Amino acid sequence: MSIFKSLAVAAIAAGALGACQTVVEPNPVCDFTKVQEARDNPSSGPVLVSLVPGAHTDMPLNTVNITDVAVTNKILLQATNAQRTETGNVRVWARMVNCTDFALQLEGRTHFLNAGQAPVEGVTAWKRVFMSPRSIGTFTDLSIAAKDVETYLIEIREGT
Amino acid sequence: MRTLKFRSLFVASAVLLAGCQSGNVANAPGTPTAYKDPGTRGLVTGVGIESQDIITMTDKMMRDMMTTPGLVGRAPAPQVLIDATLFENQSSQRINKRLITTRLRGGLQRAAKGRMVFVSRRALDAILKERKLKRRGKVDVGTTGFTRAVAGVDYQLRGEIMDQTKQDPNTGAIERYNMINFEMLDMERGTIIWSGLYEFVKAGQNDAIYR
Repeated sequence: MSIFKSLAVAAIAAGALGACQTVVEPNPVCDFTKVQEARDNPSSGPVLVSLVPGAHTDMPLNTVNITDVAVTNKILLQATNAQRTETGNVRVWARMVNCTDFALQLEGRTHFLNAGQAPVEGVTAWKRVFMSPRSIGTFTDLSIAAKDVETYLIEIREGT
Repeated sequence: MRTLKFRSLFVASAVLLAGCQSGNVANAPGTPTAYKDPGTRGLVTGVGIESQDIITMTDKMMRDMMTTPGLVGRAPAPQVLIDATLFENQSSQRINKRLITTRLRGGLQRAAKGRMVFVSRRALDAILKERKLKRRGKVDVGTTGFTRAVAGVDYQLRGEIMDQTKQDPNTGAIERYNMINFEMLDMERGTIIWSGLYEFVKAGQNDAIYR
């Protein structure tokens, strides 16, 4: 009987120890509620507005629009920016975070617009970005036009 | 009574014939031909180089060239030759190399706006014939005047298409690594002044037939 008692105590102790062991989730841990909050409280900057007031929400420029619901809750935009190259063209980049435990394939393209928000050139071709699980991936694009480019809008969708 | 029997037989035959006819005709519209975005994967997809790959690749190369100071920042503008004959298909797949060179040359010509001048050697015979006719006085000079010779080439774009295919003998699954290399060669000094590489892997259970 005492052997059974000892075994039971050992089992309880092992169970308790197991519970103490915390599973550390790999970084980054993503919170998509913040995305909606940020969308509800947009920061100032250039936006594409609807021709019919209120018909669609404002589309912020100089940022990334994730156009595909298949990935809107899988990836997060970490940073985006643009800079002039030596030849005056504009190089844009967007760094994204894969919040899932799976490899993802994305495709991105860029609209380059002038000060009047008219397209300076045709939209770029879709380019692929491969993202390992819980990793960052960077999409880059280059404009053909130089001085006319004032704003940009990157579109991201799931690659097939 | 006899007429009635005959009439009944006639009606029955007509119904039977009509029945036969409706059995043979699939009276429904076929699958309509649809336009597809050439920059996006289509209905039929294999592991080879396809329209979306050509569009992405040429767009990437064109933009890269347009930001290379040695290519677009020179005065006078360099004279460049882009021709399918300078592209080597070392891969196992059938591909019209002009799909790549024509798109690249057209895109660059529109984007460069005089910062690069493109030389055509495909039409050299026609050009030489026209020059001869002008100089013999058979036709007038035109409006651009005479030049001592046709344009020489400063830079020549060369390329290679390579691939490596592997297939699982048990499942038949196929995977292909495609690599397309571009090099802009200085035709006086023999140096490579720009290069670009485009590579991708495609895998699938079945490959498509490319024609």
